[in-house]
Amino acid sequence: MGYSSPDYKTFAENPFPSLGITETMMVNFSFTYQVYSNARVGFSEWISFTSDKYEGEDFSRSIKYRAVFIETYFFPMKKLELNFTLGPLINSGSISLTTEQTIDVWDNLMEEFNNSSIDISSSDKMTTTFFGFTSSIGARFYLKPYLAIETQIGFMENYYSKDNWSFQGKDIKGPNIDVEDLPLFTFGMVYGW
Amino acid sequence: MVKLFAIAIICFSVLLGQETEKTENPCQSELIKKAKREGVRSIKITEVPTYLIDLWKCRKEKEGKKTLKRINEKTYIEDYKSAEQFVGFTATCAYCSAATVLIFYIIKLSGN
Repeated sequence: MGYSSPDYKTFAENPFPSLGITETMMVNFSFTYQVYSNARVGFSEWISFTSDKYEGEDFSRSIKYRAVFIETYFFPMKKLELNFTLGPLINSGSISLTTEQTIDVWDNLMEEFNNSSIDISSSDKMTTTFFGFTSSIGARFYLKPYLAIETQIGFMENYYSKDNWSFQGKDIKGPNIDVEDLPLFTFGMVYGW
Repeated sequence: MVKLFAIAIICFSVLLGQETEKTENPCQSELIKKAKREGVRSIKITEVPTYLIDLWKCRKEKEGKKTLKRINEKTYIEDYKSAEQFVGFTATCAYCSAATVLIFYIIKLSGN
């Protein structure tokens, strides 16, 4: 579980959905593999997700921060590990909207068979990709050799541009969100061999 | 269907009727011995299922809990010994990481 402080304010203004705890809380999972006596490489993903209604239709916004990182560590004492993480970020954002609408051609066809008009569901999303960099320092305490609790403090430096969104293959402009330099606090459980 | 059911019952009866062979002390298996000697991390990933089965059986033995405690303690010691200090390039990575985090928060807190 991670805490950060992105500024989605311009994104959140009317008519966009209101933001709750999902603005600052993110779910995080990681996989690591030890490659050296005190170094691991891994993959980590933080997910910021919110869903709401936009003009009465289902709306969702998700930003995924993905890092491929190297983590070095040492044990200042038994069971306690201090770790240092560095890595590039390959992030993705998406805004999706599902609408119910009537389409004339379908309506006409339905009427041919003596049906009334039927609402057709249509769903699509606009997406973006942006890069960044993350670094953090943390402490891990082993409860068992295969189970530990961990806390980390760090940051994400992102290079987001509102001009880099695409929708149905076309370049479009997206929301003006501020995720440039995000402080990051994480707390989690670690399970592994 | 009835035939299949009858066959299944016969198979189960035969299996249940088997006299289970009394195996040697599971706490003395090769993998448990290895873990006691070198810690849990010495067990290869392919050996993990067998090790877990041995461990499960060992728990029920008289000296089981004591054995598990010894394995855990040995693992902590081995982990500590193997990563007590940074080796090679890992120190550079750690310094870079610590420096960037420190600089980030100094800039953030100073309000720039």
